[in-house]
Amino acid sequence: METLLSILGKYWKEIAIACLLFAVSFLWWQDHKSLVNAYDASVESYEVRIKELKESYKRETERKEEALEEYKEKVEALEDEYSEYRNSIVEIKAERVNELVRLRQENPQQLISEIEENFHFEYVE
Amino acid sequence: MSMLSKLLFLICLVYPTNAHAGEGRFTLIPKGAPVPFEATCFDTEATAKLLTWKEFLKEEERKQCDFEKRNISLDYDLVIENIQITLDETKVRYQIEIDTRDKELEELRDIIKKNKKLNIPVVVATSVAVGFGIGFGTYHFASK
Repeated sequence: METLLSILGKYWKEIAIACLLFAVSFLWWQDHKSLVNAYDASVESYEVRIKELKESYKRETERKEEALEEYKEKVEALEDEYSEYRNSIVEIKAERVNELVRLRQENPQQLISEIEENFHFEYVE
Repeated sequence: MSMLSKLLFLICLVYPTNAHAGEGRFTLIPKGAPVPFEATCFDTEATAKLLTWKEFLKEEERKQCDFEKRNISLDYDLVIENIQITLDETKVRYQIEIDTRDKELEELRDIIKKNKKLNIPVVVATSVAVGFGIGFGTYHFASK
């Protein structure tokens, strides 16, 4: 014990400097660690942000493509419907033409009435 | 008359419309011809077509208008839906920015808070004092 005390008494300045150096090193290490932690936090934050932004853009593209497909299907259905109507009206009109041709032969008076009614033309004998 | 001719004649009678399958004809009749005025004469086919055209005109136009309207409506629906999608995803991205920045700030605050607990001048002064204390104490005990 006495030996230890004598050593401490003899080298107290060196020991004090060593303690001080240790404390300063520890603090410097802690400060450096904090900086590294801050940097890591920033990097992690950027990574999360980039990942989620990428997902968002991907989702946006997918939703838009889906909407476009839906639009194409609707337009196609509408065009089909209209085309069907056009075909049916052509047939109906052809039938009506035949009907009027028959009417000319079978009931000319009614044909005259129809012309007068549709065009407001005056029939002259 | 052969059997085939009879059959053809019968078909023509049954389907008289085939006899009017032409496109229709018309002619211009000058004044002085056996009509009381200068005239345009349409044959039965042409007259029937004109009448039919007039009869169906309104319905056809209405149908075409309806078709165009629905087409334009679909176009605008797509544009609106795209804008809505962009808006939704922009909101999501905005929220992501806010959340991640909040989290980052929180972490940085924690780090600063931890650092604030350690006051370097105090630590240095304390270390020096402790060093001197230990030295003087040891020297004092050793002198005894």
